[in-house]
Amino acid sequence: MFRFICRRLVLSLITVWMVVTFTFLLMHHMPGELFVVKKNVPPQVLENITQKYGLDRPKLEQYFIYLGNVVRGDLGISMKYTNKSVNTIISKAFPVSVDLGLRALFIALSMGIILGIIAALNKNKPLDDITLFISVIGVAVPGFVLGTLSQYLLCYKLTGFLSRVTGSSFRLFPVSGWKGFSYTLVPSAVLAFGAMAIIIRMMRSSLLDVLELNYIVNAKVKGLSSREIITKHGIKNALFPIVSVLGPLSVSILLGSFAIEKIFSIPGLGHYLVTSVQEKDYTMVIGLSLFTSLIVILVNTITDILYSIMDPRVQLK
Amino acid sequence: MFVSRAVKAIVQNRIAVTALLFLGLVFIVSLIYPLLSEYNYYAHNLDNVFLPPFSGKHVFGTDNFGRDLFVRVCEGAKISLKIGLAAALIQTLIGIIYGCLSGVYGGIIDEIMMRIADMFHSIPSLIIVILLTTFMGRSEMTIIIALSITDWTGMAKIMRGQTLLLREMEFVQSAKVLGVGNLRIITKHIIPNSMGAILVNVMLSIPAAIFAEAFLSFLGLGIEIPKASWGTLANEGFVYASSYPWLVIIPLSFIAVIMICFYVIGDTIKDALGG
Amino acid sequence: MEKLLELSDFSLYIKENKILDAINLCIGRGEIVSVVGESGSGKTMLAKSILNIVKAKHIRREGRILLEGKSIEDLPDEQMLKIRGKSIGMIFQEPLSYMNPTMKVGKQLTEPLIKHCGINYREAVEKLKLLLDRLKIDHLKEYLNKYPHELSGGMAQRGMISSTASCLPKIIIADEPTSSLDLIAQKSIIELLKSMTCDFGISVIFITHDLSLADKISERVIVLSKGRIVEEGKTKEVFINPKSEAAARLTASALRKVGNFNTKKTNAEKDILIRIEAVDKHFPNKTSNVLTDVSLEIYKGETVGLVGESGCGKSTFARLIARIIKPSAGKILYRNEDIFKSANYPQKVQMIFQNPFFSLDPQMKVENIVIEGVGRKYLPKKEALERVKHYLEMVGLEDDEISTRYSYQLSGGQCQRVSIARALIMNPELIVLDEPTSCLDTVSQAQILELFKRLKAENKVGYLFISHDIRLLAHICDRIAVMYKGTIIETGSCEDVLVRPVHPYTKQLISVCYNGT
Repeated sequence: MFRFICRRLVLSLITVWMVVTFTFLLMHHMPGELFVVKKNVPPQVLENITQKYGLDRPKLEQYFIYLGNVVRGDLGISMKYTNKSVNTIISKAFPVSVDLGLRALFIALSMGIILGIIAALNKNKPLDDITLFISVIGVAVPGFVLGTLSQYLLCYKLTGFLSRVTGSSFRLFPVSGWKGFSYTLVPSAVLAFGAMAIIIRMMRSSLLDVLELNYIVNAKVKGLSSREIITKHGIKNALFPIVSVLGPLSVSILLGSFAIEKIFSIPGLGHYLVTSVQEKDYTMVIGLSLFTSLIVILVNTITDILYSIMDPRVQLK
Repeated sequence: MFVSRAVKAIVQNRIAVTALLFLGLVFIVSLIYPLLSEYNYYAHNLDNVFLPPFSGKHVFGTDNFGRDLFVRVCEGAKISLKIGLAAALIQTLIGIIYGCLSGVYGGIIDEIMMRIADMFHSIPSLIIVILLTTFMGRSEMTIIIALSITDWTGMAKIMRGQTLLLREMEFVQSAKVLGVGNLRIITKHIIPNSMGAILVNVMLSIPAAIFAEAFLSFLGLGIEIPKASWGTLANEGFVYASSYPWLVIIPLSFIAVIMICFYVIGDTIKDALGG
Repeated sequence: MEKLLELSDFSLYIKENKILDAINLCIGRGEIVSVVGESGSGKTMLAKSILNIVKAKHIRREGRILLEGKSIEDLPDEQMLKIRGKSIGMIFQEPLSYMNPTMKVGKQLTEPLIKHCGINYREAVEKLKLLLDRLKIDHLKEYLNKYPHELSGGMAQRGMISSTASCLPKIIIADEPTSSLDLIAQKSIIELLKSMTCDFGISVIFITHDLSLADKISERVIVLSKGRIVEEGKTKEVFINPKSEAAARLTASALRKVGNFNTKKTNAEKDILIRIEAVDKHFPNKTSNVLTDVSLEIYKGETVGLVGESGCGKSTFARLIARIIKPSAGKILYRNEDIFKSANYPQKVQMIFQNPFFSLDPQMKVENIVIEGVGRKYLPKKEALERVKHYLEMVGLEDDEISTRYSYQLSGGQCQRVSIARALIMNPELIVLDEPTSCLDTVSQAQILELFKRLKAENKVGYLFISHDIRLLAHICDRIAVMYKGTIIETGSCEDVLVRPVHPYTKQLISVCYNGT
């Protein structure tokens, strides 16, 4: 077990190094090389970045300066604004993204597992068909499509209608922003939907698979009731496939949040990443991308380790 | 055998047939739309901005520059489908070759190749695509390449699994005993017997690639104007969502319905082939 | 004897198919009854029907099942729960798959006790320990704290039996409890079941396809065929004088009435074909060697048998000789040449595998399979087909259509013949046979053995015949090697090994095989 965790960590570190190196190469060796296009950069900023990235030094030294900065946790500065660094943006935006992501993850997991169990226990009955329909929509329809449509229907139409009917200025679902509980409802639900759909399907099929297995027959032969069989032997074993996709799911929620943040004007990581791409603030793009990648790698590593601890069957390679 | 089983499964499933017909329709219309409409996708007409659907000859209405939305959706279909298909096929090809080699050679080579694939897998592909397109320009080609080189690990892992499984199967071992070479074992035994898994994977990669492109373009990081994929159209229309909702709803609906079609077909094949 | 369980005119239909047809059956208290039948005869369905756990759509049950005179066939599920595990317990063929992989062994083995006797986990463990003690399971505490995947099949089955017996049910239904286990574990399970009857008065319904096994455990046997009881009586009598066709087939398979190879010892001049020198094989991720210091010589034209229990390294050994895997240490020499340097080794050594269905590529036609080793492109099409036909005829597949079929359109016996043709077309001097008959039904088994015998006479090809069944080898081999835990512990002529075994394990193997028949 210990060896597995160590190997996994080493692997992650190498991956991190790969990403850091990749971003460095991208900055310096791609067509339209970024530090050649200096004409739009204000002189004060140019001086800052020259100093920060050691642009007056040889390439190799620049690489080690860059690596050193990353290791120290300094992801760089903006090449558009004098007073912005990647770290200040992250400290502002990341908590918002995490907040949104965790809400979505919570909704996705709890609803997904419950609906999945309901669907499995009502196999081929109307309740199963309904959940199946929900999950097909959720799996197939991209989150940003759902987001835009639900913003239009719920935030413009429904909320507008309610305000008009009640005659008050109360907004049930505000259109955009991130200023209170009511602002979080629609975005986190929409963000959760795709992941929830996947969890429903996995939970349903994995519970049905488990219930076909020999040890369930054996539990029945022992005289356990259906309820005991499902709670004691069924659900725990059926949960493993879900734990194994927890990493990829969290990642898809994190990335999906980029679009949701755009739609609902939520000041999270994605919002700033998109803005900096559009403003051609390349150092900012690199810094934010690097940070997102690191988070993703971290999430994947943690869930992998978690899975290996939970399932006694995983080969401890 | 796998292909015929897949086709049979689709034909027998009414929903899958509908999905296939709809896909075919979109595909054909996107090719022959110049015969159906007198407009083109780039010419501005500032007299006719924001026309709602079914006004005159503008079936889907017009956008903020008075461009015909129907024509733009058709043009968008071409781009979206092209990117989706190309990226999915390249990914699959890379995945098959990589997975087979890794599985057949085994041992330390396999170990190293799989660790490399693991690394690629744990890097978020969308971020890489955003970086590549930001620094290399946002042409269709860059997007196809960026999507292909980031998302091949799934297929590679499946193919490796298949290879390891089949390698231990007695018919492959007996081919080895008969003196059949590695390359021939791959092409004659392993790939034909993995066609089911490959087919299923292709069918799931296409919508994934279409999604990725639409996602990027929706964020404004994808295909650049005046060319427009569905994602770009939705992004442009998004600004006017509250007043002229059709500008965003129509392209989004196409994305949604096409994705559902692909998933239905993919699922049918998956069920039939037990992938 | 007091009637405990009685089935009268019990029938089971799934959709419109009659799975069980008017079964009449009676089991007394403390009695062991064997139910014997070929696969598909309805044995398992009968067992599951008693507990009403047959899982299928459109089920219809007719007739009655009486437990101590009370009818239980149409009890509602809640009341069946009180019978399952408490009055009637059941154990299964592959014990490991019947255990929850994520629950500790102790926890799941105590489940019946906790459920039916209303005691807590600790008390249940104490009670279970009393039973497990009798099974000579060492390190009881560790055993209960393990997860199923850490157990061997035999260990798991012993645990399952004691768990089932712990509630003192009136009947234990044992559905092929030993057929996935090796001979030694088999013997201990049989003894355990017998002792349950002696000590606790538990009746046992022992379901098996092996009549000789039935003979070891029970005096009374019921023969099932196609869902009907075709014969019933004393096991010994059925064995010696079977009246029904099904029973006769089963008896034949138990006795393995196969002809002798009749080969005289041809080691007048010792022409060594293959020499295995001190070979070790170690797989990554495994702590111990699969094979340790194995040496063996095979002479030209002789048949060597290799016997050992499952997991002893037999198949690994076969694959080494067939050059599928490489040894970790040691050498394998073919006429004094390292086989990994030999250019045309496929023309010298070929191999036949255990499962005939798996050994043919499902995507290829028979003709392409057979010609694969020769390489079809080197031959004109007509000549290739001629050769395929010639070799298919040689293995007794005369039907012309066979060559254009796929493996899934053939029977197991036919598939195995195709594999043999594919090996023969290479004109080898030695064929490695890895349990070539163990997946086949009794009839094909005998036919394939006949075929080997004929081929040996015609083609002067030698065999390395691998099996877990020393009786089978005794019929067909010139020499026998015994493998135990990855080493060859004994080699010698058939007679020497069987009549004058040296190693205690060989003695045990022989006594397990021959006792009772």
